[in-house]
Amino acid sequence: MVEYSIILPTYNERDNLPLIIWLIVGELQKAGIGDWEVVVVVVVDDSSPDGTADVCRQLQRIYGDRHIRLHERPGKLGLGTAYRSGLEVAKGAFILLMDADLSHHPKFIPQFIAIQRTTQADIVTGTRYKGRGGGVYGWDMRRILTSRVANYLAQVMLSPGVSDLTGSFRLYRRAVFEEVISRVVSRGYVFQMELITRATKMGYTVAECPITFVDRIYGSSKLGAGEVMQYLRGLMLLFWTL
Amino acid sequence: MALPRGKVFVALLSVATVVWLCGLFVLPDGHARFLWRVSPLYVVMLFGTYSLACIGWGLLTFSECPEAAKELEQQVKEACDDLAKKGMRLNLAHS
Ligand SMILES: Nc1nc2c(ncn2[C@@H]2O[C@H](COP(=O)(O)OP(=O)(O)OP(=O)(O)O)[C@@H](O)[C@H]2O)c(=O)[nH]1
Ligand SMILES: [Mg+2]
Repeated sequence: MVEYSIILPTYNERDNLPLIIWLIVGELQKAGIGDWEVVVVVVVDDSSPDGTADVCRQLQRIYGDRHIRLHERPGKLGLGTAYRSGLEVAKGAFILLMDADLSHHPKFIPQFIAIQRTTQADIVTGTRYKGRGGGVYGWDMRRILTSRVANYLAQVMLSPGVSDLTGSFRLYRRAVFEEVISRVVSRGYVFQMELITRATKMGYTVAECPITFVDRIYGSSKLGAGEVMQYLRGLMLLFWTL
Repeated sequence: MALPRGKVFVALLSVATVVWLCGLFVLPDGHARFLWRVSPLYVVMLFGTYSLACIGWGLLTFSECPEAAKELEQQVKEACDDLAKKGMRLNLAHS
């Protein structure tokens, strides 16, 4: 039985995908998580022009297609729907979301699982901003300031009781994820923020796990300018409706 | 589910505005009335100070993790070697 499904959305991650899969396999084996029998990685690729899907097929030959599922979509349909499509393929009782760009290190997956087991929380969310052992690498002063202000605004306007709202490294009980994501309307950075805030307002319990976040080394950022305005608009909408 | 924060905020703001306007009507000219008239300004300043303090605290306690980047860099090398053994060549020239 599949216990944990890792949904890995990819868009032009041909360099990162083999590395992240290698790290996931290694870390799960190190932690002795069911000889990684109980884990399935679902790669949701939006027909990346760089051939990420071919790289994924190569990885399936190496690691076996029982553990790595490739879900291909006809074009760049966005992250929010990538998680939703991934969920249809993923069979796990728990759903883990992470980025494929090596910003999220798989060594934290066993920690998430351990925290979930001891706290019985509905959601375990990675936090870069609280607790020992967490942090960020590779942001300049402007990026740090932006994130601090954005986080402060969200804390004041939503008080979600979670320290890292825009992070996308999280473990969910499947039913909780299905229920909450079906109500989420936001996109971009606000998507993760709405997901976690909605979940807390619906009474689901959230535990936090300090994580390190290393800004991407390979490949390029997909989320570009105009982001700040989108964030503020999204925040106002949640302020008014959530 | 609780009321959205924004709606609570607007409701409270309206009540406060009404109270403030009433005060302006009933208070006689003088020092007290002047203080009452500028009191919203104080509230705004107080909130601004609080906000700056929070953001400042966030900046001060912001932690960096160069070790994590080092560890990752090392592991990327290991991964490349190991994957090459498994028959997969990576070409990470551009960084
Ligand atoms: N399937 C799919 N995956 C996506 C899409 N956009 C982004 N991704 C993937 O989602 C993850 C997070 O996206 P990133 O581009 O890293 O977003 P970010 O971390 O906010 O920005 P960076 O600063 O570039 O790291 C990565 O694994 C991307 O490959 C999309 O439209 N479709
Ligand atoms: Mg990223």
